[in-house]
Amino acid sequence: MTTLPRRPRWPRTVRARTTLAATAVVAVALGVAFIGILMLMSNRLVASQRATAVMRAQDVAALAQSGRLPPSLSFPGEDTGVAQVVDPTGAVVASTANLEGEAALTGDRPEPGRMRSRIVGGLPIADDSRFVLVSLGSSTPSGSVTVYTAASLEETDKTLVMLAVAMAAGYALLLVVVAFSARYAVGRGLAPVEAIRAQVALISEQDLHRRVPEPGSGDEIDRLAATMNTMLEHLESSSGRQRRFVADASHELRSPLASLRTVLEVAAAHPETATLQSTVEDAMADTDRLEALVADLLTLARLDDPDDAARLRDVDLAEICRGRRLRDDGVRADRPNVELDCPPHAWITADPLVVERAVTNLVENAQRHAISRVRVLVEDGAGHWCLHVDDDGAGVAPEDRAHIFERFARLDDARSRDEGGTGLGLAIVADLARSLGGNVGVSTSPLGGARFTVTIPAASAPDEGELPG
Amino acid sequence: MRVLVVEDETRLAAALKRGLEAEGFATDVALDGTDGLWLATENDYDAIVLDIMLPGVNGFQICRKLREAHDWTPILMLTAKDGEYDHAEALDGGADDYLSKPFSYVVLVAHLRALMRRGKPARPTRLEVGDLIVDPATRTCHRGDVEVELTPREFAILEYLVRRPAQVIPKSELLDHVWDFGFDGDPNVVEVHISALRRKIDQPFGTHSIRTVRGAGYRLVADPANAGEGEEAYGTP
Repeated sequence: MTTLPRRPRWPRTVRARTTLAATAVVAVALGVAFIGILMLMSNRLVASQRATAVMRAQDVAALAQSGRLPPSLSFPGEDTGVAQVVDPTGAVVASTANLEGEAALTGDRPEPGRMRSRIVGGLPIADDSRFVLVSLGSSTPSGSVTVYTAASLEETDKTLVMLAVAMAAGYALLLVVVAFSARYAVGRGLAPVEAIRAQVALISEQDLHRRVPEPGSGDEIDRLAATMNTMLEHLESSSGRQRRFVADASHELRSPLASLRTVLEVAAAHPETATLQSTVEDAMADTDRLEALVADLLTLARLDDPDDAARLRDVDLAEICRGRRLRDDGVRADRPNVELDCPPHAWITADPLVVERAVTNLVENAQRHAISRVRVLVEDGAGHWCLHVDDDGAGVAPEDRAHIFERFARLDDARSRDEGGTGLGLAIVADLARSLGGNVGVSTSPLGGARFTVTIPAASAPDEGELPG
Repeated sequence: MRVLVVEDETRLAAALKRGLEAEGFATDVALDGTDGLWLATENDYDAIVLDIMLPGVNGFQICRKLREAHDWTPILMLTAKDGEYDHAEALDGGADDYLSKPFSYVVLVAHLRALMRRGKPARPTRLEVGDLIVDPATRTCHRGDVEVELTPREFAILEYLVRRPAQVIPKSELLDHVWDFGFDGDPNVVEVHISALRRKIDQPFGTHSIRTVRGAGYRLVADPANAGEGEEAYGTP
């Protein structure tokens, strides 16, 4: 802020605004105070002079009353006293020497015993200095008269001017000091903010491992910096997870693609090495893998989408389980059938496609690991629904129970991906549960194998007459 | 020509085997890292196609183990993972070539043929002469366990000598290969750097690996006790 604006422009920095505000407040407050003081002084000094003039008027009135009024008045000890006595017609009866020959000072004729006072801008003896003029009505043995006295306000005025000047100087100096102090203090206070801002600017352009400096002053800015650093921690680890996921996903997508491509290229380059049938079977197998993976990735993307709320509607979990089981019966002879135990309705608010996908993933996962039995159970749990999928297979070891819900988690490195599963099935279930405010977990099932449990908050049933979404 | 394919995707491995055999290569397939490493050490192959992500031992480890055992079979690495670091790590780890998945089968065969043309000379990533170890990938130099700090120029000269152990290298050749063509200064700069090198890799250890051959040039030897004819431990050629 070193250049003066050509047009008055409102200052924009916090520092400038604070300085301006502080200075303005002090200016107004002190201004009012100073003006008050000046006015008070003025009144006092004028009153003092008036009192002097009143005393003189009373003295002269006393003389007039007693009939001993000399035609030439004088006050002992000074020659600047001003007094005049006029009769009712306005003729001067007596006056001080300095008013000799002058007409009546004013036209005021108060009643005897009554007094008026005024401040006048000049009198014949000195017409450029102020006087306080007192008019006192009096009665004499020969009739009523009016006594005029005046006291000079020259000294008073001089005093007031000096006072005003001194005060103004002090006022200006004080304002300057206030302005600079405020500017400095605010600048000092806000310096860490600029340091933080500079660091954050670097962070967003480059990398997330930087942290903002914490001034350690224990104040609001310190707390802000600490909070920012916590947020940056979260951003960094979230970004890391994101990157790892993209790397894993690209690997999982490229593998079946490479396989597909090589199978087809070899068949094209060397038709004698494989029958059409075997080539097509190989290609279909990898196409299926790709399809499953793409479907799961898209489902995860749907769950990550903040606009997801628009897709939520009333979903009957029990109906989805029943539908899933019907589709499954008799489809594959080598897979165990799914036993079902659920109430007529289990309403939740969710994206129906994702719920279907999640239930499918759980059931298929169970079928892959089961020896002979798979059971789906929906239980009422006081405000939420519990979906249990049980199998009688080998179960999940306690130390693995947290990891299996991670994306592309594989407990057994040696397990070929051909056996099935994209690595994302359980991650989808976990994301769905979390997005609905629910929970997932794995424990031991009554059938002897694993029990996967999903807890989802219940929704109220839709109104009668409304078709479920 | 015999080729080993180490790849855990069964359909991909089977297709490669069919294709390579149709091209005339005898092909062995390993579906995990452990089997792959075993086969590679047991048999003599003309080339190895090695996937990185393998159950058991992964591709990087197999490659490193083979090179440490001085097995110089040409290795072509395959991977589906993203990132230039995987690429660099594979090559720095001793692989000769690298293909990203999905690759074209035709291109793979061409790369294999090119690899086999190069033969199997020793191509170590870390160069050793006696107990002097020079690693161009990390730009480090050790004598035994002790690390020696070298300036970039000194390192370049040493690397050039280490790649031609026991050969006599003329000063002009060093000048040509370690300095760029814009260099206009005193050719004695080579001597200055050789002296500096000796001060760092020989003097503290009491060895004499950099030999001056009077009138001819310099050579790097492993055995510090044997001086050749016309050689001095110090001095200018």
